[in-house]
This record gives sequence, C-alpha cells and structure tokens, in this order.
Amino acid sequence: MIASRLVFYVHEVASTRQVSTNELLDQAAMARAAHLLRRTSVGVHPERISRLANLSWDDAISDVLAEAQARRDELEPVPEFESDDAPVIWWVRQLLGDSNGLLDRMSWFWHTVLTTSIDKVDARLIGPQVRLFQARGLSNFRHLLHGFVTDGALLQYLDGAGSEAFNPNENLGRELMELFTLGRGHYSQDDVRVAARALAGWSVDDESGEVVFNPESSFNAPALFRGEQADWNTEGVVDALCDDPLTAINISGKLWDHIVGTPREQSEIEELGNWWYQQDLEIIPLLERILRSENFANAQFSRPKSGFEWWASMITATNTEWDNLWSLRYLGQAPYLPPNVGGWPGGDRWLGPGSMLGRLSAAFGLEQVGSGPWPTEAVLERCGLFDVSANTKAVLEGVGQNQDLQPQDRRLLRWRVVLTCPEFNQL
Amino acid sequence: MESGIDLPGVQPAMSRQLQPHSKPILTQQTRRLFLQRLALLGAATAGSQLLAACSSTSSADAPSTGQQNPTPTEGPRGTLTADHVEGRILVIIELEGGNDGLSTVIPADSKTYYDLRPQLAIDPNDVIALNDRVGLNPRLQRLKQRGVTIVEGVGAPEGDLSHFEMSARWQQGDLDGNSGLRTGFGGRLSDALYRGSPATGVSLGGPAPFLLGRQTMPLSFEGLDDLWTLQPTEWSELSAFQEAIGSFNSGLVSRAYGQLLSLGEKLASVEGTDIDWDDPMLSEGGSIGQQLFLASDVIEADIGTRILYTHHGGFDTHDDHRWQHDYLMSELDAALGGFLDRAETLGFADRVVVATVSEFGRRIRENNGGLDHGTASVMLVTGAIEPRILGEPVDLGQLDENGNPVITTSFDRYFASLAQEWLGIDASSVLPSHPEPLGLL
Repeated sequence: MIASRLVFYVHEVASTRQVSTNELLDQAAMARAAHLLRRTSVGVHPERISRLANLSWDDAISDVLAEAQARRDELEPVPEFESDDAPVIWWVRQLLGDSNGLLDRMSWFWHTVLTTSIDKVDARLIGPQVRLFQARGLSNFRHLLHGFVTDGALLQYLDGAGSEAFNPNENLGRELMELFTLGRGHYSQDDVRVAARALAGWSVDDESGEVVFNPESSFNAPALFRGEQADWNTEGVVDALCDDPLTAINISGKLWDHIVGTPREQSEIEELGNWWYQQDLEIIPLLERILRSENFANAQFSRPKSGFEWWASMITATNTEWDNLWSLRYLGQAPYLPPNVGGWPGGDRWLGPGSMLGRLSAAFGLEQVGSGPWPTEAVLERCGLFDVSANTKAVLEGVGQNQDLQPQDRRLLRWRVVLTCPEFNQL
Repeated sequence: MESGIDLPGVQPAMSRQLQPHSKPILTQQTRRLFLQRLALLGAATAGSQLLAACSSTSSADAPSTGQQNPTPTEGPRGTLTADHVEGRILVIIELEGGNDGLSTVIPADSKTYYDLRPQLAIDPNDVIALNDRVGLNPRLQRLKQRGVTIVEGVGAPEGDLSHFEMSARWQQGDLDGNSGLRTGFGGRLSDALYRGSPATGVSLGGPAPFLLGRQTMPLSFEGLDDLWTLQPTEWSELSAFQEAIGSFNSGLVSRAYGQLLSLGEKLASVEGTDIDWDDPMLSEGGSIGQQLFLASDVIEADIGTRILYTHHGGFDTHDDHRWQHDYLMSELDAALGGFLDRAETLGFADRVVVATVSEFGRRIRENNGGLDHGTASVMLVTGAIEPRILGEPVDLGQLDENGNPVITTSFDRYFASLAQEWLGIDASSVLPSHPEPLGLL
C-alpha cells in the first residue's frame, strides 16, 4: 500500500503580499513580534504578528499577558468526549486555535512538567486535567499543585488512586518531590514514605470518573516529614513543599528553560527562584520578569523546537487540516504520551537525526499550497521568519533558479525547504 | 476525508494491543521503495565525507550532542570492556502485554501446572523437550532447530502488576523503578556503541523508549512505507528537496541532515533481494516477521546499526489465551526462523543475537480461558550463542498473595548478560543496580 499523501491547504489570500513603505522598519518589528509570539503561544498565526509589531516591545509583552488572562475568563465548559483520543484532540485544537496565546503555551508547559500518559489513565479524566492547567496555570503555583495532586488523571497515572495510608503506593509521593517540587536529591526515602501516606485516601470512581476521598484510607497520625513533626495530610504536604524555596528554584528554572532556553548560571536561577518565592509563587509576575529580561529579548532562534512545537508551527503556518495526532509519534512527541513520567527529554536532542527524519518526511509530505505564486518572502513571512541567515536565503534562491522543476513544483519546494530550514526548527 | 496528517501503518496508541492479524507493514513494492527512498535521500550529496562515519567499522566520532551536560537521571556513561567485539548486534523483541512463560517453556513434569491449568495447559506429549523437566511450546519448532537459550524465572523482585510500570522499568533497565533514570537501557547501550551513525539504535514497528539515550535517539521506522510518501514520478522533486536540505551549512539541523543524507547514500549501494512472499517469515510471521525482515535489511545495509528494537504485540491474554498465544508463538517461530536463515545468507549470523523482553509473566491459575497479570516470565535468546538453560525455574507451589510465583532471576542480570557478555559493555556502567551477568556465552 502506498502511503496516502499529506495534503496541506494554505490560504491563498496570504500568498499575495503587500509591500509596505516602511519595509525595513517593519521587518525588524515583525521579527521581534514573531519571536515573542513563538515563545508565548504554541503555533503562531501570521495575522497576529503584524498586530503586535505595531506595539513597543514592552507594550507587546503587556498585551500578551493581558490577553492570556482575558482568555482564561472566557473558557468554554469541558465537553463530554466519546472516544479515547478526543480530549487530547480537543486540547490540541485549542492550542492551535485562532485565539491561542500564553494561556495555551502555559498549559503545554505544565503538561511537559506535570506529565500524565493516556496509556495508563481513563480518558475521561484528561479533559478535567487540561482544564486545571488552563484555569490555574497562570494563577499561583501552590494553587495549581493543590489541584494537581488530587487530579483524577494524575492520581491514576502515579498510582495515587486507591492508595491507602497503611500500605501506601510511594510513586506519587516520590515524583511529587522529585519532579513537581523540590527536585532530585533534596528529600529522603523517609520523606517519600510519609508523603505517600499523607497523599493516600484518594480514588477515582470507576463509574462516574469522579475523584473521591475516603477518610478511612487516609493518614491521621503524627509523623516526621522534612524535619517537622506534625499531623500530615495531602494539603499539608503540598503546602510544606511549596514553603521550601527549592520548589520555587526548581520550577522557575524549568519555566526559564522552556521560555528562554539559553543556558544560564545556577546563581541566576537561584536568584530568580528566590525572587519568585517572595512573590508567593504567583505565575504571571514570574512570566513577566522572564519575558522582560534581556536574555529573553536576545534569545531569538536559540531554543530547539520540540517535536510537537515543530508540528504545531507547521500546522498553523500552512493552515493544514488535521483530524488525528498519529503523525506526532514520528516526530517524537504525541501529547499525553510521554516516554516516561519525566516527560520528554529535550534540548539539542530535538535536532538530532532521529528527530529530524520525521520532520523531513512531514515537510516532504506537503503536497498543495494553493494556486498563489508564493514568492520566497511570502512563504517566510507566513512562517513567521523575518530575518533568516544568508545561507538559508541562498538555499531558497537556489530553489527559485531550479529549471528542472515546473513552477508549481518550485513553489511547493520553497515551502518544503522553509519548513526544514534551521530557523524554522528553532523557537 | 481530507485529513491533514494521516500516515498509514501507525497504530493509535490507545489500541496498542495488537491483534494477531495486524495490518501488513511491508509490501514488495514498498520495500523496494524504502531502499530507493533512502537511496534518494543520498542522491544530492555525492562523495560526502560523512559517509565514513556511518560505517560500523569506522573510528569513534564525537557524540553529536556532547555539548549538553548530562543530568544525574541520564545514568552513567557506558564503558566498553576488553572483551568488546566491534560489530556485534543485539535485536530485541518485545512481547508486548506480558508473555506467559509457562506456555512458552512448559514445566511438563509439574503436577501443579496441570492442576491449575485444566483448560490451558499444554499436553506433555506435545512439548518439545529441552530436558526431562521442561519443554518448548510446540509451535517453536524452527527455534528449537536453530538452538535457543531459555532464561527462567525472570522478573523484578519487588514487582508490580501494572503494564505501564513494569514496561517502564524494563525499558529503563530500572529494577525497582526507583533509580530515577530517564534514559532507556538500549539507549545507554547505543551511547556506548555510538560511532557516528544516526542509525546506531533503530526501532521498528513502533516507538521505543528503550532506545532513548543520552546522546543517541533511535531512528524509528513504523514500516517501510512510512518513511516517505513518494511516487516514482516525483523523482526530481525529491532530489531537489534533498539538494536543498543538504545545502544548509551550520548548526545541529544541518549536521543531522548530513548524517541522514549519508545514511541514504550508504543505503543506495544495497541491492535488496526480491521478496519471496511464500517465505514463511512473511507468509506466517505476521507483523513481527515483517519487522525482522526489515531488521535484516537494515543490518545488511551496514549503516552502523547495533541495537534494533522490534514489537510483537498481543500477549495480554486475559481471554482466549490458548488460541491467541499459539498464534503468537507460530508467528514468532516463523519470524525468528526466517531471520536466522537470512542472517546466514547475508553473512551476519555470527554477529547477531536476538533476545526477548516482556514486562511480566502471567498468573498460574487460569481464569475463564484467560490469564491475569503475573510476575516471572521466561526469556528466549537465539543467534550466535550456544543453547543453554539459564536462570532458575519458579516454585509453582509457593505463590504470593496474588497467586503469583516468586521470581528467581532479576531482569537486570539478564540485561547484564546482553550488555557485558554479548556486546562487551561493562554491565555496571549501564545498569544502576550493578548486576552479575548470568553466563550467556
């Protein structure tokens, strides 16, 4: 059987381009706006770039922050889903939607940190977890974490569901400290045991999918946790972990890596984390501080796109229709299918051959780009690339001069090459 | 349906339990296309100096992502031992879902086995005797002829009955699930064996967290026709694409393209024998037969592949165990028999070992024609090693509170044998529990 072709539909309307009078100035402003949007949304809709480009850098950041809070206030109720992958598709459609922005970037970020896999959990529980990330992902980390440790999907994923205090499952307690709060090496096995007991008593009702708490299975005796003798329960353990500045340092470091991506000194991250601790783990101020940093302003094209991020940017640039997420397995990052509880190992590995092979396949699968002329500049603009390297320009020029190809094939090739160029593989 | 992205041959993760009659992933046409396609990849970069880096016998190259500092969870760096033999290959077959060891290697002398399995036990007269105690599943005739090592009683001492948990432990080589490792055991092996080939670790038939390394990421082929969507008439379109991506000249992206293009170049020289569809490997071997056929292609192509991971799905036999398991054993036997035949024909039989993994065994007592999750299972190893019986049989009279026997051989020791005794990689350098090898060779 020959593989069916990937078919991309790009809006023809965008293929004719108006040249503005202040082109050079525009290009710099557009490049800056595109950088901000690449990092603060999941797939950049070209239409949004020009709107932000009309604002100053500071105002553009304020706009992105304000827009996210407004979007949070307008979330539609989580629908009922009929198939297992429907909630993930529902979420990804929001991530890529016309109104996607920082709220979506942050719900994606929280999924990469606070992972869950649909391999293990009841699919009905995914929608509520996504909603938790959307509703609390921009509020306060303590508030988010309180919701997360009693989230049905997480409870099933890390064996918290059904765990009983007299013989608790330690999985959730361990990962709570290693991955979600303090970081590895900052807790003892005794801490794990007490945390596991304190987190016990929760379960997910098989029929309704509701999370229920059974006091009889929970812990109600004094114990020593992280040096403090007390009657520990779920809430108390989460509070104690959030009261430790190590949590602020660990989580703000992860957010820095996600948004800025460039290497930084440990002392800088400790400074950021300690500052965030003073802000009571409010997420918006942390984001604002990161976005307004000089490092961020200068970080253009410096962080490799992950498999999902590359796919998302390809989909939004090409306006491709899609109805399933299978191809993301080739790209190494299907949402809600992380390789393990630690999430996806990131960084430069995303640009290794194993990962790039899938991107080459997908880019070559581009089959149709409408009937417009699609000059190089228009394709680059559509992809949010306003300042590509001389090498990339030269490669694209070579495409334009290829006389072996029909004009429509040259047009198609231009798209394929832009989707594979080094800049498009970086955030 | 105008689906934007819809590649065939991919099982959605939600229905990962493959049926015995899974869709073919290989056709005569697509196999040729595969070789052509990868060859096409190389068409644009004639004489690439990177080609040498892809050969399995080339000298060591700096890891592609060596600039990244390892984190503690990525595990120790694999070190080669003095016994390391360059060019040896390990093929893993994952028996997905938890293979019943007692239907694979039958304890034909055990009254308990026949008492607890009134419907599902295999008749002692049918088993292929290995000694006076145990025998192979009657469907494994070819394997017996080829010679097979069995490893009995394999599992995790503090096991778990969750597929997810146990798969993760096996894939990460993490016996108790507490090591915090985020790399796969096969990925750490690949890191140690890395000589510059992007195809050092190859996953067939699905993704493989097993092969996730600190430096190396697996090349994953779902099926031969899944690499490229291409029609022969579009030759010039593809070569122009390759020429373009081969012209990017800086950074990790262009480095990856260079490696892939030289991989394609290397594959261009592979003739690729015509497929005989009457070969039992393909006519009876199902998806695993096709994967192993592709594996033999990959090895023949000499693109520096050292670890291959394949998937044989359907072992979660809660219902209709006997029929399903028989079917799966027949497929496995045809696949392995064909693979070892091809290994001889193609001249790599002396440097390949095939070993099974499976997250757990199954409950001894049958349950309405099916079997629940268990603990210990039996692993099979074949290829360039003498047949042996390793591990220890489980005591069917001593069951835990779930009705499962106590494992006798922790799986990290099995992994230690594959790493150290076969591949010549110090077991302690790739397994945090510092296990002793079992004596595989």
